[in-house]
Amino acid sequence: MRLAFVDLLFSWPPSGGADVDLFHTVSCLQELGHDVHVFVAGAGAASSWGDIDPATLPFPATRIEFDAAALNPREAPVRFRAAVDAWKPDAVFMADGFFLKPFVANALADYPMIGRFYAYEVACIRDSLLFKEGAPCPLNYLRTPDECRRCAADFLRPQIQSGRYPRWTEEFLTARAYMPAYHRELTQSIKQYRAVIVYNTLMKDQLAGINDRVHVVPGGVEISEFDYRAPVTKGISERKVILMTGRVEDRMKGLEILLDAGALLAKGRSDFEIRATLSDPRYDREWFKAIGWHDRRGLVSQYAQADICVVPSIWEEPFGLVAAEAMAAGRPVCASRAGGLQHIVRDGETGFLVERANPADLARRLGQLLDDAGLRTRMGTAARGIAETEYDWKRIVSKYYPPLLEGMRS
Amino acid sequence: MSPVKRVCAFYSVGPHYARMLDCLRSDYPNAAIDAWIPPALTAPDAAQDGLCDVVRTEAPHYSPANFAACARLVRQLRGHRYDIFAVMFDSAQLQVLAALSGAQVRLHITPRGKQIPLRSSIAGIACDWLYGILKGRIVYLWVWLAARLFKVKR
Repeated sequence: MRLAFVDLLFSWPPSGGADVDLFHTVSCLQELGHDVHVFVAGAGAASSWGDIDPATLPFPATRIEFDAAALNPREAPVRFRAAVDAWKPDAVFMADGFFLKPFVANALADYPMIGRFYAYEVACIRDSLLFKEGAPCPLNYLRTPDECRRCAADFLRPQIQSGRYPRWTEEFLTARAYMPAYHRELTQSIKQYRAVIVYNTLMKDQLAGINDRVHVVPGGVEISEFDYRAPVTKGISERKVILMTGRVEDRMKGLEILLDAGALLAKGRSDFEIRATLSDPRYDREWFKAIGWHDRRGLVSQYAQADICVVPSIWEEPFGLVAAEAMAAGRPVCASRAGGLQHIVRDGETGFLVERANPADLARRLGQLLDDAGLRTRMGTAARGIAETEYDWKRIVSKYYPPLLEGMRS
Repeated sequence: MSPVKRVCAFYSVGPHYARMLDCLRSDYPNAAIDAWIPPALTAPDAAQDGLCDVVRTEAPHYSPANFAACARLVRQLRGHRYDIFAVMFDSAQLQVLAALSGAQVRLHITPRGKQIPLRSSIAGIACDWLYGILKGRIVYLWVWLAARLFKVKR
């Protein structure tokens, strides 16, 4: 099949999980024999969005150049449509984008289309996180558009008033997402997808009634990146390393919960050290160390040094890549029962799921793992096995995509 | 032979410090590169992996509200007589700091490793800033009204 992938934000090397997801999906579909082509919006030299060098990618790609003024709801759809038409695909895969995505998708509506959502961008036009005032937000822009428009306007106020907009805010303004018409545009675009792919059931539920052809497809990890070695068994008095990776600074990632859990543990024991990929040493204490940002190589090395990994998120993680990475590294994971994490971590088998925002529960499970080297090894080995069988990119694409693409033919 | 250039790579929290140091090292292979790590931040591995020559952590705590600390920081930077001053973001604060650093070349290095010259004059930065604020406030007034006055028809 000839498959066109349209992504308004894709860059390589990646800026985030959505880029990694698209890269592996396209690469694997190409390996499965499909004719693929990626169309990306290039947004100027200073922008990291759309920054690709087609010559270095393992699949064909076209960067459609836009200057800042042209990346708008009038020109972007026309230029993407022209580029896609010239390539004559059998189907279009609408990948990542902020507020211009519905306009481009509607311009391509003549093609059978798959829509892909990587976060809560349809449910939350404030920041796509669906997280407000320290807790998951129960609203959904598709159903409560007026409340959500006001919330977004209030939240984006400092950025808009500063006159210096990041890309999200720039598109919020350009696409006039604060107006009622944007809601119609978005709803129409979702309705016309022949299939929609999301990361978890919460995202699927958000689309219910608008598009019921929604498929939950997990993300993956690059298994070969993790040179799996069982952790060195440490004695009872030796310090075990508990590792938290990802954007630890974000409040919704639950660092405060981990610190509280660490304080509870520290009352009764001193055989652990918590490390977090955090750049602020003010958090440092006897049992906690901010280890700063790490590149991929550094991160893999940190996983290798860890005995236990922890993902104490208090928001509904769409997927929970760090949990899958920790499993690929063969480490037991203590994660919140939230979002995609609860599908990745198998409670009692590859780690523990703990109650969200409950330090005592987290401390209890961490204590259990610290006490039992055999349990850590068993869970870590099981985690690696599951990462290999369920989160390897090739397996994911060959399991989920062929039936979806069959649906595009009919 | 041209004299060895002195480069300041000023750290802000962000994932691309290693790339920034890499870019500076490849463009100025003979330069003496100082990694400046503000005291509220942990030095990233990149600063210790041989990508720079010196890691400087003596910068004072500073914020735009603390004029004395800002003045101390500027004095320290100027004392090193840098030829090149590189930052990771192009915020107004970093632009002003770069302009005051005394370096002839002031660069913003993007996450992709692109080098973009920063505005050089304080007056220009101030004009941009004022224009942005004025425009931003007008735009926001409209957004605020539109989000409240117009309703989605269901």
